[in-house]
Amino acid sequence: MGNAFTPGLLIAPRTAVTKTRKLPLGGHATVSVGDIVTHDQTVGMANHQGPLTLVRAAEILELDNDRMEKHLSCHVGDIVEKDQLLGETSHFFDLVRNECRSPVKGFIEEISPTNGFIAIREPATILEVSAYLSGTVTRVSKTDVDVSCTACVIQGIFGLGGESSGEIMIVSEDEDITLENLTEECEGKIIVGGRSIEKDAIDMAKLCKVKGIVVASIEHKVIHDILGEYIGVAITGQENLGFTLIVTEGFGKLKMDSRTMELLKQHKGETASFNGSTQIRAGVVRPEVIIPVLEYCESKDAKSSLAVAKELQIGTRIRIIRSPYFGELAEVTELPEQPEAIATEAKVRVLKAKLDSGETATIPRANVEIID
Amino acid sequence: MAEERKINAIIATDCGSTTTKVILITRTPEGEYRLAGRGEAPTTVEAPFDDVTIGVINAVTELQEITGRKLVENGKIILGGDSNEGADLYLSTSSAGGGLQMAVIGVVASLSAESAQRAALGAGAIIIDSFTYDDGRTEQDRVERIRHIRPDMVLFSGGTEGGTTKHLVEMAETLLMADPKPRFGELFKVPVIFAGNSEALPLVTDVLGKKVDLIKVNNVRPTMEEEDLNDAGQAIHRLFLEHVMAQAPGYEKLMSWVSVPIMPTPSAFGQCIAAVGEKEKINVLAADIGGATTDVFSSVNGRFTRTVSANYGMSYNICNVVKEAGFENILRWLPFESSVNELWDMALNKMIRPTTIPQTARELLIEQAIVREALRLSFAHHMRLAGGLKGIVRQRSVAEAFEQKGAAVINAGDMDLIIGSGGALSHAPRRRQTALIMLDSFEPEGITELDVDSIFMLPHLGVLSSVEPDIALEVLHRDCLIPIATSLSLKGQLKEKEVCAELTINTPEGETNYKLYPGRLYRFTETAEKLFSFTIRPDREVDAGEGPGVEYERKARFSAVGLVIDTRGRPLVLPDDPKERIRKNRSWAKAIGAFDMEEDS
Repeated sequence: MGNAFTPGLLIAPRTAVTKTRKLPLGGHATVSVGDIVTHDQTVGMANHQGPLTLVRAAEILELDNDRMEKHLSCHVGDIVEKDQLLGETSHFFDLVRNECRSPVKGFIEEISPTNGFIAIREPATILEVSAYLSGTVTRVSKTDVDVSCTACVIQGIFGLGGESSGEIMIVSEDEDITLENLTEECEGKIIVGGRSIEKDAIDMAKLCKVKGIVVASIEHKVIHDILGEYIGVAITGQENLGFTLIVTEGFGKLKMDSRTMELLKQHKGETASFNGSTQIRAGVVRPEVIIPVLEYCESKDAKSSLAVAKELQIGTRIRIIRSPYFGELAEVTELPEQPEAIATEAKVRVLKAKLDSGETATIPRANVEIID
Repeated sequence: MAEERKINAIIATDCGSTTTKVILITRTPEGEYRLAGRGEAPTTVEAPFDDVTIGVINAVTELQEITGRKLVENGKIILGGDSNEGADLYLSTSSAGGGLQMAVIGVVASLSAESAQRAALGAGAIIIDSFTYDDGRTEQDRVERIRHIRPDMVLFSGGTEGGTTKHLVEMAETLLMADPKPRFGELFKVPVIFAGNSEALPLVTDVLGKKVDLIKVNNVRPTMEEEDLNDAGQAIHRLFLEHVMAQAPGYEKLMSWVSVPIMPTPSAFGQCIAAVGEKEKINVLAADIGGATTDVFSSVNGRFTRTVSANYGMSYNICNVVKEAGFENILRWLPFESSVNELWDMALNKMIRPTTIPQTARELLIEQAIVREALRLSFAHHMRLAGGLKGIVRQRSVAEAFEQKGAAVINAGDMDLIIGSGGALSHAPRRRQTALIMLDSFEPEGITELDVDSIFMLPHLGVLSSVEPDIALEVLHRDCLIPIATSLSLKGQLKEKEVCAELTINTPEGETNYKLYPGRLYRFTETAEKLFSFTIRPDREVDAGEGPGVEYERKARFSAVGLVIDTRGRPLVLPDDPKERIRKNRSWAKAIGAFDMEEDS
């Protein structure tokens, strides 16, 4: 009969999840196997050396690199304050003076006569890694900690921003999220909308200190306005937006898949861990919303709806993933064996389907996903 | 060889980043080798499959359904079956690994790292991030970022010759701690190309040890005033082709299935193009537009050049094409009004659901507009690499790093034959659309034959040629290369509304004379029924390929579209006024029969 393929998005009411938390460099775990942890609990930490700042001293002092050192008032190992004088020169009988000052607090790590730089190391900082998931610590090694739980998992198709957590709040089931939906109650929440969101609502959500936004779709111009640039290669997750955005269906104006909305509704008021990181390339990474439902157990009944290649049959429920029926749900009524011409005149393998709207349509098999 | 082994059937797959294509070649009762059928299925490198062989089996199963020949049993391709089932050989090419996204490491952002970035960009890669000592990040930030972006390759620069070694060692330590993993963690280590101070190499090698695949090339910044991009650029290109592109989850399993080693798709494709150029003694240009990359090949005066533009493609990298080309350059090819929003939303949706196909004429034409720009960008990249990176040491400046100095190695006017391949060209609903896309993208000059890879099988034949060259050549000429048009393109002083050339078509029935005006496309379809010759007499300031005002006669060849005369001029400039541009696009499409749309509707 032939197969149909989904983009591999996981929509699971209950499944086993394990997240590996990489410890900071030179760090150590602060938990042990079997510990019950919350999503915001620290599982590893490290005392970490500060960043290095390079000062172009020779250039600032208008000297050749090899003459720089003679004009410096600092030495390797010295501790310096921000704006402290590192060296100076004078020209034209002291009429023109050049001063080189430290842009940061730290200690002088290196003075390079070859390149004319002074390297200043800033003070050490304490780095911590959180559990991300509320669950059980299932493995601890020198470099990482595994946290596991049973959870409801929803993968989106595109996202922005990194890891966060918050209480799920449905603000709009069937319509766009608008300014009216956004109140101070949204603070610290992950808000859910069944269709799309415009830029003004995103700005308001940010003002309301929303931690996450889950919507079915978004228009490119909103993404462009948020990021200030067009997306070329979609490798996201480290944008500093003040919130995390997760799109479940695609770009434009689309309605959220009813399974996704139903799951989110079932868990409203519960705390979710979520991450907008996306990498759309071979070796794909998808954004995710994870809602722990039970403490971790070696449960055999945790079920995943993660698709495998499913066979299309008469009666199979499908969702259409390309214009002109993008987002519509339908039921397969015919599966012609031989390729047929479509409106573009291309001859491709098709199926015939009855849309939920009542219309019948011929659709390329490449443009559907099975939703059973 | 084929006779001795009595090969009855050959299955060959090409695992692309988006689609896995399979062909079946069988031996006819007359002893000829012919294409018996093709099938395809989405490539299965994403979750939940994570195994390229699933897509292979799906594609072969479709081929089995279409041809009626049993090819799959118990989830495996039948090899060595009887003459009515399975195949004697199973071969494969792969570009399933997709595009090339790199990280650059240097000491100072404005010096060595900047040179390294230019080398990587020149080689067709995308720089996801650049890490330097003065980037203001903590070491932990750098480590986390490297882990997050999962670069396909790292270009490690820093230090002029005789300069710093200490900072390079520290950056090597950062890289070691980040322990970058390939997107597909199966068989290979992330390649790290060391293009920094050569005195630091032993120290860096000590640090990185066996964790990465360290490759030494010339320092990209040997002195403060000089840069040397060529060696690093060539290494990036080679490593991408040999290691990154072909790899995918399940690759090891696929290797155990094939009769000969899997070839990277561009290598196999290039093998065919080089053979055509050599055998026919002609200058050939070929382009294969895929989902993640666009590969361009040329064989000019016996010199073969292959380039892979690693981030211009029609699915995973479609947004990168739109971004790099600029949406105005995409919209200019459309025969209707559109908007930036429509274009971007469509491109983004294609990127996130790469296996979908256009179902409406409108979406098809938008995709074909993007194809034109992907081909133009990739062709420009090819010309730059073919000629521009020869000069080894350059004074530092962005302009010089990218500008092509001296005579160009490849000129559009030198090409005798242009071959189009890849889904967007091989599977365009009408061959006339393919012909128009190729004319717009490559802007050939004078007489140029246009061929298309009939069903996208050049990579399959390339790998076949490594074991059965005679069979490969037989199928190449019988079933693969389809002549779609002969193009005759004029350039020079094309004065509006004045005759720029006269054409005489000579058929057995007699002569027919035509006056040719500028700004148009003409199609002469007699070739579809019978061969004819033609004489072109350009105006004295117009060049039809043999020089201004030079008249000549040629025999036309049989082709799907016929003789196409392009009087739009070179370079091809489209009107600035959107309405006039749309009218022109419609009239050109109508002239060539690319699609049905009234000129003034």
